[in-house]
Amino acid sequence: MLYLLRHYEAWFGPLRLFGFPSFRSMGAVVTALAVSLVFGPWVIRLLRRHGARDQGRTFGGLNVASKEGTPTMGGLLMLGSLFAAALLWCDLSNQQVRIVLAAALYFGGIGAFDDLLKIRHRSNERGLARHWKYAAQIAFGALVGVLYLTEPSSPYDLRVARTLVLPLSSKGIYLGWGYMLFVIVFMVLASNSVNLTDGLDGLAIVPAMLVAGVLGVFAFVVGSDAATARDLLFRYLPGCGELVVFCAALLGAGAGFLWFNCHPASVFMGDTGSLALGGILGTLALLVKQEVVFFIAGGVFVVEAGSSFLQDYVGLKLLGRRIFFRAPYHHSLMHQGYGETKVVTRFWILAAIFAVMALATLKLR
Amino acid sequence: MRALVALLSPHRWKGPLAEAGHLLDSHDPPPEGSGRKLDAWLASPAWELRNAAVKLIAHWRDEARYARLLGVLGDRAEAGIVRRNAAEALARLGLATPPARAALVRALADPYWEVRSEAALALAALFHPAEDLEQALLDALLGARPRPPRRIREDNFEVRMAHARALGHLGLSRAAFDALLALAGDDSWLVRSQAVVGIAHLVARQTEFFGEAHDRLHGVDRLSEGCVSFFVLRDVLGRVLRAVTEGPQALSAERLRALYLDPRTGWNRVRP
Repeated sequence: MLYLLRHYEAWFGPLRLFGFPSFRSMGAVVTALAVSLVFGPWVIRLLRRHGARDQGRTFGGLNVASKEGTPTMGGLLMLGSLFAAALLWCDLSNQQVRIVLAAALYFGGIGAFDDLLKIRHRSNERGLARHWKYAAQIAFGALVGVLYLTEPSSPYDLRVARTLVLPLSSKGIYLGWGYMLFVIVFMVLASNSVNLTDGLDGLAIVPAMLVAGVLGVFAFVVGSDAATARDLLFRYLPGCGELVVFCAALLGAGAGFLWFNCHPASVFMGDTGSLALGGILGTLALLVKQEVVFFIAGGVFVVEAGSSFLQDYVGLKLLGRRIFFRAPYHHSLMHQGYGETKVVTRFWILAAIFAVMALATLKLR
Repeated sequence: MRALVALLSPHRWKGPLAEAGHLLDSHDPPPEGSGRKLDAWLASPAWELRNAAVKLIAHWRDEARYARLLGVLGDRAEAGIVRRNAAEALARLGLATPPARAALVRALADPYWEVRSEAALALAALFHPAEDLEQALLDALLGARPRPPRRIREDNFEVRMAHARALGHLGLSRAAFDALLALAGDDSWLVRSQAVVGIAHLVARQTEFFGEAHDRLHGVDRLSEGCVSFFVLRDVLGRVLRAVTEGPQALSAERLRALYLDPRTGWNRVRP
C-alpha cells in the first residue's frame, strides 16, 4: 500500500523512495521483524491458552518428550508478520506478488488444518492423511501450472514460461506442456522437503531464510531491469523485481519467528509454517525461474527429504532394513548422541554454504 | 524379488497388517487358529507381515514356533528388521538353549548392524558368563585373528554399545576387561558411557581388576554431546565411580543395570 505514496512525489519529494524496491525491501524486513517481536508473546500466549500445543512423539526410539506441550502453529505468527509487511510494502497490483501471497495462504491453510486435526485428536499421527496432503499440493501445482503456462494469465512470454532454466548455462530446456508436470512435482517436493526439515528448534527457518535471500537476489537480477539481466546472461522477467520486496518480508518474518523458535523453543511453526514456507519458496523459485537453483540453495532440504525417501521407500519398504540410523537425517545425528544445538548449528552452516553455491551460479554461466 | 512383489501390491497386506497390529496391542491370549495365521504370515512375501509374525511369537510366548525364530535369524535373505526382531524375540522368550546360543553367536557376524547389536544384547540377556561367549564377542568386536595390538574393528556405534553391555555381562578374562577399556576410550560418548557401566559389571564379578578399574575409570573422557541440558555421561560415570569407591559389595547387578542407556527410551534417559 505504501507503494502508492510514490504518486505523491510531486507534493513531497522523498516519497519517490517508495517507488524503489530496495527501499521498500528494507521497510519490509523491519516491518515483518517488528510485527513478530511485538505480537509474538501475545500469539504464543493465545496458542497456549487455546491448547495449540505440540503432542509428544518418538522418532524411532529418539525421545523428544521434553518438548511436549510447547505451543505449536507458530506459523500463524510468521505468516501474519509476512502478510503485514507484504501488504504494506509490496506493489499489490503485481501479478507475481499476488500468486505468491495466494501460495502462502493456500499452503498455510493446509498446514493449519493438519495442525488443528492433530491438536483435536491429541496425536501427531492423526493429522491430515498423507494422500490428502499430496492431493492438495498437486491441486495447487496444477492450478499454478495452468495459470503460468497459458495466455493471458501467464506473467511471462509463454516460450520463457515453459523453459526450464539451468544453472551454469545460459540456455534452458524447453519443456512445453511437460513443464506443467514439472511444476506439480516441484511444488510437492518443495513444500514437503521444508515440512520434513522442521524437526528441531530453528532447523527449518534459517535455511528457508537463506533460500529466500538467494531467490531475492535472483529476482533482483532477472526482474529489476533488462540490462542487468542481459549482462548476467539471464532472460529479463518483467515484474519479477517486485518479488525482492516479498523475499525481504519473508526474511524479516523468519528472523522474527526465529527469535521465539531458537533452542529451547517457545513456539514451533507446526505444519502451518513449514508447509507454507515450502509452498512460498517453491512458488518463488517458479516465478523467478530458478527451480534448479532452489535445489542447490535448499541443499539442506534436499538432504532431509532425500534421507527420508531413502529410509522409507528404499530401505524399509523395499529392503526391509534401515539405511540411516533414523530419518530425516537430523534425527540420525541426534540418535548418534549429538546435541540439538550442535546439529542445528551445523545444518545452518551447511545451508549457508549451499546458499553461497547457489549465488555463485549467478556468475558461473 | 519377493520384496518387489510386496512393494508393488501394498493393498494386499493392509488388512492382515492392521489385524497383526491389533493383536500386538491386545493382552488377550492368542485367538483360535492363530497358529495357522502365524505360519501363513511367516511365509508372506511382505516383510512387514513376517515381522509382525515374529513379534507375535514373542508376544504370545509361542514356544512351538521357537525353531522358526532361529530359522529367520539365520536366513541372510530375510529382511534385516525381521532378523533383528527375531533376535529380540529370542531374548524375550527367555529360552537359553544351545541352538539359540549358536544362532545368536552366528548373528554377531551378521552384515546388518541392527542384527549384530540385538544379538549381543540377547546373548547378554539369556546367558551366564562363559569363556566361549566372551571369545565370540571379542572376535566380533576385534576380529577373529588376534594380533596384538587388537583394535576395535566394529564401525557401528550402536553395535559397540551393545558389545560393551554384553562384555560387561558375559566377560571373564583380562581380554574382556581390555576390550571394555578400549571401548571406554571410544569417540562416541554413548559407547564410553556403556563401557564404564560394562567395566563396573565385569569387576563386580572379577574383583582382581577392581583396583585397575578404579584408576582407569578416572581417565575416561567425560565430555558428552548429549541432547539434553545435563550431561548424561557425567551422571552415569559419577554413579559408577561412587559404586566402585564403595567396594565390590555395592556393585549389585540391579544397581548397575539401571545405568544402561536404552535406545527404546532415548539416550537422554537413565533408568531410575
